Amino acid sequence: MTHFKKKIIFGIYLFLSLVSIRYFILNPGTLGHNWDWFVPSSLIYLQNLPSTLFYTWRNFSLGEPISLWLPSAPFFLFFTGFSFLGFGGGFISKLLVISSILLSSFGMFLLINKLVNKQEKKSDFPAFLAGLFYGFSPFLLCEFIGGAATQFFAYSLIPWFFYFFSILNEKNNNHYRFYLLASAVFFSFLTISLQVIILCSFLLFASLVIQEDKTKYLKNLFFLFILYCLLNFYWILPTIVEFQNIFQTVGAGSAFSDFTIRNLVPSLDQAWANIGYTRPFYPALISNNLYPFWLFIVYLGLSFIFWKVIAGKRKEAVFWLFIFLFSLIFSTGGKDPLGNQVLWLYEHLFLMSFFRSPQHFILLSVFSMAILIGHATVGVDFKNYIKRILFIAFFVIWLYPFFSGDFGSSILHSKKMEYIDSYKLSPGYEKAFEIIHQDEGDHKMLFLPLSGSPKFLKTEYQNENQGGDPLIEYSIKDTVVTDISYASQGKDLVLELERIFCDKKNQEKTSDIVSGFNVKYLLLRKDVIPHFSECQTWNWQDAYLKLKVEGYAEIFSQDYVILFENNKYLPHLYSPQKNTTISFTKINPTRYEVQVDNPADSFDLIFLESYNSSWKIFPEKINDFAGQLFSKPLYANSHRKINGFANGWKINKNGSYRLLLVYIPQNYLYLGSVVSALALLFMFLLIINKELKFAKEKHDEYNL
Amino acid sequence: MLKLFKSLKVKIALFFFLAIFLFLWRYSEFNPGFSGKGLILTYWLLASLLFAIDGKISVLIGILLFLSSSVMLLLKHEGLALRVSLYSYGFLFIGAIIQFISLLKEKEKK
Repeated sequence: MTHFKKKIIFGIYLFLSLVSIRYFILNPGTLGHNWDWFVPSSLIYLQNLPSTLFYTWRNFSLGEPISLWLPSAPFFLFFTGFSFLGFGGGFISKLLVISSILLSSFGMFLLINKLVNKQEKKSDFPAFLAGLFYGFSPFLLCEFIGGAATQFFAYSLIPWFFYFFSILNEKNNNHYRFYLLASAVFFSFLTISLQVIILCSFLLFASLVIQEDKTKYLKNLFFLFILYCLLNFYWILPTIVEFQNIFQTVGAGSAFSDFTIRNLVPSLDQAWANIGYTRPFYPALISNNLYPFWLFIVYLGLSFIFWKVIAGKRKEAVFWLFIFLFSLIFSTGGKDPLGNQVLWLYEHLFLMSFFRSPQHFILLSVFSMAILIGHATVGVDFKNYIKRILFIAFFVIWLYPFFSGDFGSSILHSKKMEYIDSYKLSPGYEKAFEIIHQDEGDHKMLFLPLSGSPKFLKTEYQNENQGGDPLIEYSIKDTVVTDISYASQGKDLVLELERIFCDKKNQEKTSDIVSGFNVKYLLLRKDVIPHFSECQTWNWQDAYLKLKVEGYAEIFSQDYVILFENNKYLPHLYSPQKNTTISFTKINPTRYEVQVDNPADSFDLIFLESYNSSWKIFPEKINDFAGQLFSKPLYANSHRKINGFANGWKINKNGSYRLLLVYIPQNYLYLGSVVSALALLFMFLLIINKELKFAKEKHDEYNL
Repeated sequence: MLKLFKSLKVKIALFFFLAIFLFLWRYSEFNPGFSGKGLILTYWLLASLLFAIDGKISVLIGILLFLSSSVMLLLKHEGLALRVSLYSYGFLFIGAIIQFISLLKEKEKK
């Protein structure tokens, strides 16, 4: 296939992706305010995000270990990078969607061309159709509505990984090392979604049965996983070290819900047509009268695909049909065909805990269906234009809701279902964040209400909606919420705080908890109310009165926000003993330099961050990460939980001195990063060496 | 011994023996949740394996049932459509497995 043809196909997909998002492009807002959408609108937020990415400890919800999120760091770094060129959340959120569509469709086009090319190459049209389906699939539309960016971006990278890996398995591959590295890099990118990496690993091993040369395939798989482990050692190592702590923290929210598995899954008739999700968004976009006819036409097309695959007598095609049928068992969760058996697996198989929402399995159905489309249409004579038009017409009918221009938002809104909003941040918010951002002190802030996934009220900047709030998720200062945090330390205190603010009659003071949390700023919001909360009677005026009565200083007020300052907050690091002076410098979220002056004979050092046994104290001279890994920390025996959530140490040492407070898994991240960087460098050297040799051989051949 | 199992009479006898056994088990107190649909589809799988029925036939039946289920949806018989859809799923699954195994065997012979 010529480069020109590829460019044309890419151009068509680009045009279609722009058509599918046209109303949002014309609207200057940021996509979000629904489910898991977490793209910040503000430049301050976007530019702050990269500085928080490569740490094993995150200053959120009193602090939590996050090495499982480290694989997503390159993804966030890439997209937030645009903010340094002056692009805000509006541009980035739309770029995210368009790039996901383009990567999905064009990647699948290349993959099908590669897979079908091995058998009988007649036309690029089958690959084009497969790319069209995969890039504009009902599942991707639902993923956009759902808003988990890491999920839909990982979806778009799957064909690229399989494309490079299929080239790796070709005979007489002259660029083996390059394709091995490309496969490992794309496989690493897929780790931004744990579900995707698990499903792709399953596909890789299952594909063994259709390989001609199984030994070579296994050898390639082995090298792939070795290189993957080395390239990802930077997050694998701290995760292994912190395994117990991470799963204690994350495990609290990972129990599966019987209700979700039984009810928030597609029915079999939806799963056949790949239109299912946790909620029936796609069927809702088709008019009720039209839906049965639409389904009939889609079933007709599917019947053609199934028959062509079986009649084609290609084991690769039948294998993917089998994968498609197999995936339906899991994507339909507790419903037919094998609902009870799937529920049993959820109860007894640990691996299933990664799939609390069975919609992740739909990915297998869509991926295998795209490949089936390629295989089924490969024998069709597309020189006949009537056949081309017929096929295009079928895909237009199947996929037309994707092209509504706003991902069906207006229809879904009218049907009282969840939809993506396009919102703007009010000038009041921008100004308040500017004030908070300019204060470089080490303290926390509090959003009122304490909801990370609130209900948004209708204003001139946003519609009424419900979903994740990026202002909270990526808060520029550590904050505490009652809903979206996994952290369990101090949860009781946070809930207590919410109860006091929520209940008008509750006369208890908030200042003890607020100050004890090291909170300096309180941002009262008028345009949101709690949603996943016990507080069902939130009223910002009541909270305002409470704040005023308690003496918090109102320092700024504009449109939908009022900013208060708490001057009595406890420092992040302090000693309750009088005369003992503690001053400190925060180097990064995992490292603090502490200066102790005039200490009492024995004093407590208190660190207002979630208690974690991996926080260690070292003398000032042991300041390199390798030294800290192999040295004994100070006062480890006295390390305990204090104030209900924080870390406390008993220190017995006289005179002025400096200490280092370090979160140890970060040192493992540094160590792992060295291994990953060396592995990458080594692979580059191997590739350059091989390519130079290859070029020389070519040159010699030409001269002969 | 193997020759004995290749005889059509023995195959028929074996099929009926297994069919009765499955039937009794399905309606006994030991049934772990084996449905009527499961029973019928297992009979078909047994018959396909014993009498070497081409996988294409299963797939063809599956496709016909699949289309029928969409017609039933068109006629607003949702319950029946789901029932038929489940049978079509079963037939397609059996057909795909049998076809896949036979293709793998063919490849090995070559």
